[in-house]
Amino acid sequence: MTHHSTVGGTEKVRARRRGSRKLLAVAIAAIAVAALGACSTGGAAPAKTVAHGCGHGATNLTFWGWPAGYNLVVNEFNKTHPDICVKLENAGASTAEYVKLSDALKAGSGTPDVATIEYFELPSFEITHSLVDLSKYGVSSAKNNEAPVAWSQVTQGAAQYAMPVDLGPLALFYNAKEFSDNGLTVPTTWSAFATDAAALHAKDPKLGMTNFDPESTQDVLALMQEYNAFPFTYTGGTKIGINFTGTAEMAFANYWQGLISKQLVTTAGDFSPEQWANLDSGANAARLSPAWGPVGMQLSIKNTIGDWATAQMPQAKSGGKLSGNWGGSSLAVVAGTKHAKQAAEFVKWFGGSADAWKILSGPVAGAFPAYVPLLNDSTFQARTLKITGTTTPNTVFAQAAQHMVDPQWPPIMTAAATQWTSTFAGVTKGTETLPQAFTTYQAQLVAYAKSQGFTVTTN
Amino acid sequence: MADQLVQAAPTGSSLRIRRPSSRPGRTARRGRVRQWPGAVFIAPHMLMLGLFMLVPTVYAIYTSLYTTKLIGGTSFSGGANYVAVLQSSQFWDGVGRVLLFGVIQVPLTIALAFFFAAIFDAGIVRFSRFFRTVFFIPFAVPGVVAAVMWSFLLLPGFGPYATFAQALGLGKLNFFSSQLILPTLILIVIWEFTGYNMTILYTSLKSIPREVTEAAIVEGASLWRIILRIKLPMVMPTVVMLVFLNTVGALQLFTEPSILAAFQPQAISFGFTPSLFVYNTAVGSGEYNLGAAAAVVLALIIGVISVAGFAVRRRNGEFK
Repeated sequence: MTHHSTVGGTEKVRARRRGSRKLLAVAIAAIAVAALGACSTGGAAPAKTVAHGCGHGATNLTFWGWPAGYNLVVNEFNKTHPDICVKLENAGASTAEYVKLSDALKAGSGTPDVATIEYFELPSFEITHSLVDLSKYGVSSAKNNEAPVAWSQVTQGAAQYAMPVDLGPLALFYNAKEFSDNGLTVPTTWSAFATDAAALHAKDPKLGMTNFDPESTQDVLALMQEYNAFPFTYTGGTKIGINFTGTAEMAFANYWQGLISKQLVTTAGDFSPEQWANLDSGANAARLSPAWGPVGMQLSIKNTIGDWATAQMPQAKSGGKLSGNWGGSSLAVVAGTKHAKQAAEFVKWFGGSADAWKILSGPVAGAFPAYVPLLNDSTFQARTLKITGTTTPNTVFAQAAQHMVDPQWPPIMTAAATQWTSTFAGVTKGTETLPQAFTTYQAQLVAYAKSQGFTVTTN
Repeated sequence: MADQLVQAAPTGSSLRIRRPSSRPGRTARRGRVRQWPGAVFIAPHMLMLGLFMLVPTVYAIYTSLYTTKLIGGTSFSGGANYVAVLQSSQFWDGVGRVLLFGVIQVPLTIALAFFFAAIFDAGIVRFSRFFRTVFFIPFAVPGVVAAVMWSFLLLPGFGPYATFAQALGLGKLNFFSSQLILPTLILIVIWEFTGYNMTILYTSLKSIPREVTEAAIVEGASLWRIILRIKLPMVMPTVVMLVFLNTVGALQLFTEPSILAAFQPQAISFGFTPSLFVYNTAVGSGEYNLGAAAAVVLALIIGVISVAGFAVRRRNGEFK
């Protein structure tokens, strides 16, 4: 639009138009800012909030948790404890929640009272003094009812930083029909396992013994626990032991690389469609499964429903009973909470009461307990699933839960897991061996730990 | 990718911009009055720019000068983080990769976009409005959703494309293998952004005066001669701007590989792209200071390329 110079009368009209244009400009600017402000999300504010049956004047607790079925347990607690009102919020699963939690802790606001934290991540929060010591609130009396491996991972010295909830002991989950069709006996040692694998492959090259996913950090570390080759030592403080290149660790790596190189095992991703297809088609005759595995597995396979049985994990030493733990989580009370006493009461009930476990072990949550009374319960042990036909997996898993080494997780697991994915990619692709990846990873992890100020021992 | 539509006046067009009259007193006052609504209109954007770009950038530079250790806390470390980034093979590996990615993806996208814009503008396609809308739809799909969708479509062994490739006799194609991961990403990004570029070029082509085309037709020029020798040079400033925008976007590649990594972790390394390096360092490893330094280095690299882009456009006579 071009403006011509004007004279006289039309000046007034122009002045009025200018004024109204100003108003319009201001109005649009104001609306724009308001709209943009409304567009922004609440930052770290979690998505879903659940609060049921809360009494008047009850103490309010915020609880960040993602596992299925937790809302049912929270509702039960609120019903039976009218003086405490727990609000469950899903702040993301696993790492997503841990990032939010550490950001909120750094910011000094927005932290929940209680949070679900998996065992391997507890030291990372302990070292920043972000968890309340529950031993001051009488939660330690729950020790006798918890599996030793769970209790060791929530305590450091005399302090207790979380309440164990569930566990993931490993067992050999095998296709009994495929075993008998191919004349295989259930292996009790790893060398027998390898022999079985070779025999199976010789019969039919399309068949493999199991799946081994080099990219699955927690899976591999659980197997290393079972092999008594756990590569970390850490008991709090500034000293970390990292040893991926030790004798036992390298023996573990060489063993699995042998199976991978001869194509006796597949290397599909854990929980990928490829893995389920392998298990369903017989391309995998067995799965080194955690206790929470079968419930999810029966949703993903069709043809072999009813064929699966459970046996103890193959042992490095004949006659042993060792298992490893994959997964499982605890409930921690976050530092800065204004209601530590009530939060402690809640977590103690959640992980260590029969009422809570009735729901937690039910069909929605399907959690496997670290809670010993349920582990030893005969009805629980006699449970069957569609996928297991008439066999009872819980008998084996419950036994495994009580025979494990205590893994000493270092406080650097988030970085360790991030780096793991990159370093072990070559093993999946077949461009490097597992021992080579272990050596590279050892160097990377030691460098990282040193850069974070830790004193690192490598044996 | 930039979200501003810029209309560039074609060079050599017959339109001329009229300059305001040169009466000093009147012009000065009118100039000030004329600037007032403009300033108010851009104020919200400037506020957002300040809050969400300038402040974080300054904070990133500040953060990059310190180092935080789990044991030992935070201390000033000067340029130590920058040295670490410059010496990191993972970081430069990523830089090389996005440069290669950009060199292939950007020309392909713009060539395809121009081709479609030209044939729609020339009116030789029936239902061109329908196709233009359909081609634009991938841009309306959020990058995360697109990446998830493609991760399923390209699933090795089970996805429809893999089965289709096997049916065609191409064997067991793994779209996420070391050799194919980059072509796969290029394909996904071309799918996402061709429609957007096409829409901008179509608008640009439409603003070419009809007399020019009619004169060429009268002179007996063929369709492709008209498109390549007359229309393309007239929308060259738009093309150059799109090359620049797409290149900056390519260098910042993050969403697609980070989603792919959830499905195919072995296909995406720690520093697959520089942005992914920043994310894995800062959020994935808790090393926010080092991540900040890497982000600043990446910003400088992109800044250098941007300045070069502006220099080229100025030399082409776009900013008189």
